[in-house]
Amino acid sequence: MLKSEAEHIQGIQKGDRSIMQEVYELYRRKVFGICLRYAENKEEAADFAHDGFLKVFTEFGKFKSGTPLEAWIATVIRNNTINQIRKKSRLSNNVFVDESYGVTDVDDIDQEEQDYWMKTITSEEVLVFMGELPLKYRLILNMYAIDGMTHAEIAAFTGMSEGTSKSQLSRARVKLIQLIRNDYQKKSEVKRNNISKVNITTVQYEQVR
Amino acid sequence: MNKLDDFLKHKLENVVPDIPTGWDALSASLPAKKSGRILAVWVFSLLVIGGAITSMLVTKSNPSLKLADGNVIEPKVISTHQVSTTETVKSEVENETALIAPASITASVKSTQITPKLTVAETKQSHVTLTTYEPIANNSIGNSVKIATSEGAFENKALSVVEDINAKSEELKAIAPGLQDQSAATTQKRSPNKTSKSTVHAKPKGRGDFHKGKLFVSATISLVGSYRSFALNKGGAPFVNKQYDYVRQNSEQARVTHGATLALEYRFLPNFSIQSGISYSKLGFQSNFDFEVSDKAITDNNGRIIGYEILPIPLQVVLNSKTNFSVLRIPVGLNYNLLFNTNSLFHLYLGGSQNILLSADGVGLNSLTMEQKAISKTDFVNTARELCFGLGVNFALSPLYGIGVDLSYNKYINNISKNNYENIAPFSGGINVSVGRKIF
Repeated sequence: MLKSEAEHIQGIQKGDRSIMQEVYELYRRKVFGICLRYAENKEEAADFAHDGFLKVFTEFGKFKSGTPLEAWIATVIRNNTINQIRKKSRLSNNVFVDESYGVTDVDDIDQEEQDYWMKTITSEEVLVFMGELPLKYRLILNMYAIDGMTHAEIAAFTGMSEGTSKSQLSRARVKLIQLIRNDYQKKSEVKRNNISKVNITTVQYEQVR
Repeated sequence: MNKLDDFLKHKLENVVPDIPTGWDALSASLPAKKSGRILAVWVFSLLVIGGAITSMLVTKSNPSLKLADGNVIEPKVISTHQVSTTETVKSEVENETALIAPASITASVKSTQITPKLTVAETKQSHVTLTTYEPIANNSIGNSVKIATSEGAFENKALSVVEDINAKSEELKAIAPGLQDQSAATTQKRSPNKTSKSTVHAKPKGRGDFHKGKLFVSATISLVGSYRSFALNKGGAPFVNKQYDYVRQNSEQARVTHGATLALEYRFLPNFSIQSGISYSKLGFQSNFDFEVSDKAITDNNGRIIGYEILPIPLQVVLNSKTNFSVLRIPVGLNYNLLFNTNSLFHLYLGGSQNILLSADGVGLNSLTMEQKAISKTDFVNTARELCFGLGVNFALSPLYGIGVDLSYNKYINNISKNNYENIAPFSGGINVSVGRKIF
């Protein structure tokens, strides 16, 4: 039987491996989900998750009683992942300049496409789009849009200035919308082509008859 | 709020992808539970060894340790005795000094006229000030001398009259072979003496005196390879009937780990000593199995096997077992010691130890489900006994310190698993390097 959160906390504090394993099994999917958002691919996400859990168990002394365990683990994992990315990429105030101005919100897109976004695109597809974003954009979208951090917090975390954070966010949105729209257009084209083919085939069939 | 942000939050905030468990890799990466204790034992052992080596070097390089400035040493007039000639003289001992520690006194003593007080300035090179001496038997060269020193009186056969220099020299000059350097420092020019003179020199106690001690303390570090014979039908898969195992792969290997020991040894007979102490050892072993079973045990609520269930399709069992555990050993044993020259000693050790389990972790087999499981301390008994055998050599580095190298073999004599259907009695072999100090 699954143990209570208090028993989990006590077990980890004592270094009880069986409790640690239970906690790991309980939260690993959620943790992997967080890491996947930030990572470029599944392998990198698995590395982030592994390192994050190591930090959770080895630095459990920093856990403050009264904090919900799941929230604490999520925070440790997220912070650790951001730190790993920082170490890898040396974030700075340099801004990508390859993006032209474009649509920065879904509101600016027509209704049919908006419906496609909301109803048809799966989480897995969004993760693929996120993975295609430059590292800084992916990071800032995750921190700001999903994890709800402020620009001041992002600046403190990454070493960027607040202004850079804001401009990066804006460019990240443009880029992501571009990626999704391109994909939408490709799919629409394929769909149109298929309809044309079906029509031609129907015509040919009629002619044969 | 930006609608794109809402979209992302909605799609990604609670993504819970289905991924395979990575617990085994994570568990292997987690530090051992008692790492602080391991570190403490290692640090302590290194400190002991470092301290012993430092003390040895300091003693050798700086002999002037004991006299404080301002001290004045009073030479004492001692008995009348005969020197090598038949002439009877009244001898007085001039304060002379030893170069090295009292246990291996090196001194030059001259019978001469009263030498007035020696001040610290004159004896600064000293450890010990000789105050009196007298031959034990007769006055022949080579006889023992009883001396009194600032460290107390003692009789020492190593201290003997080495030359009668009656009226021959103004200097002390007879020095035991091999000690010219040290003795030169003690040789002091004095006023000519009208009476007979003899030079008495203490032959130094050699390194071999280390082995003449009775009580020793030692610190040891060990490199240990431990192993467990993982018998499939007896221990590896205890819940499986013996007739249907099909082993595809079975590989076992020892794991090289480490240990540290602090020990006391008392030599109650010239060739025998008793030894005890406390020892920390980290043990481990690993096995890789891939086998098939065609039935599984059926157990009651207490885990007792009550029958076997035939499986329609053989079950493949894969086990990559890795076990780590650390124990505190309290060994007691007997050494047989054999000197093969003055500085080197061979010893055989036979003993036993009471072991206390400190921690355990790793991956093992759940005998019921035939699946891998995490191992913890609760899978093992807390205390167990071990048989220990060792042999090695000890070399004297100085009269006080020695170094030893030996090989050891330890074997648990009882099952350390709490599972009655398993029999885990690991054995280990190692090479140990120790630094010992003679206490007396």
